[in-house]
Amino acid sequence: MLPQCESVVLRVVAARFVRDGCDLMAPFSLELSPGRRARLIQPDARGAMVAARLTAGIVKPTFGAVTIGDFDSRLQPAQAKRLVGFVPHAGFCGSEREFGRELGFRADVWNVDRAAMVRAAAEILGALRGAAFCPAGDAYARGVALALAPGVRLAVLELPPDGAFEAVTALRPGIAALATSIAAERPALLRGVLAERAP
Amino acid sequence: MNGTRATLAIVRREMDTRWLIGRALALAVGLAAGLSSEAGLVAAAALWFAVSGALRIDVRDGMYFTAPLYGRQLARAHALVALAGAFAAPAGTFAAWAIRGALDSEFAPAGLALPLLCAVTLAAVVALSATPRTGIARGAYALGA
Repeated sequence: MLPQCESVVLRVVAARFVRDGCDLMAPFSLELSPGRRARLIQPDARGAMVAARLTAGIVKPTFGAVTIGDFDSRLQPAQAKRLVGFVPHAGFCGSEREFGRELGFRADVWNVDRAAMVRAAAEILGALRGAAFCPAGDAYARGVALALAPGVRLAVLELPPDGAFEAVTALRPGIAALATSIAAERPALLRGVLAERAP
Repeated sequence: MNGTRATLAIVRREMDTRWLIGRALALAVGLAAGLSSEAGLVAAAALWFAVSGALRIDVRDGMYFTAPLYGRQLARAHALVALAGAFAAPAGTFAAWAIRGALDSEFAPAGLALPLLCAVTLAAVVALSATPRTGIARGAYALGA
């Protein structure tokens, strides 16, 4: 067991995800503290999606460890996922009514006040309205609102559109944030490079 | 962590408009079958709706994987939804029997009511086991139900 440090929200140690003897993403290690952000570059879209889901505690590493807060994603997945807001690459594609229902569902599952959840989501949607990365439908903005409204400590953005990561970190500067993306060139040489890591 | 609140949230999420329409249809068919007084028709309708209702549950919904839920909460919620759906057609049949004045005789030891309730419960639970599976395994569970 690794020594735990309260100031670290996300700790990934030599994580690998293997299926049928094949690494589906480039292995990586990282630590993120509150207010820090990182962009994790993977050789392909599949690797980026697996890496995002792995850091959000949705899938478990085949080798290595992922700790979110004080919780191991393999041993205490529910407690770990409570701290994470995961934004899928497509955002939330449902209707306005479905969005409302989803907000209610999340309020119940995260065990937070519904009214506070709706207020937080409205605030996030208002802040993101008109942003270049969320054109008609605002599907991505809704995905961000659903992910961040429960008051999470870590935001994980899976293959976000241009400008989305910066907008999300500006919205919640106090939480840790991580985005995955695909290498623009020489993907074969990349091994889970941390391209950006700034306070 | 409030487990009951989360479990009921899953139940509400699964019992959407389409689910309610399906159960209303099951209730109506159960009522018609009960009025026809054909035991075979009653049993077939009840079992069909019990199995099809349970198979409709989407346990692979991506939202469940991102949410801080325990497997037991999901299992309980899905079982509640499947059983609530399975009892819709028998409820219609019981209403028909009540209209015909046959409710007491059907709930007697030699009646159809108790075997029908047991059968739909069993069918729904077995069919629920098909939902996380695909292909032949899924078909086998559905047929077994």
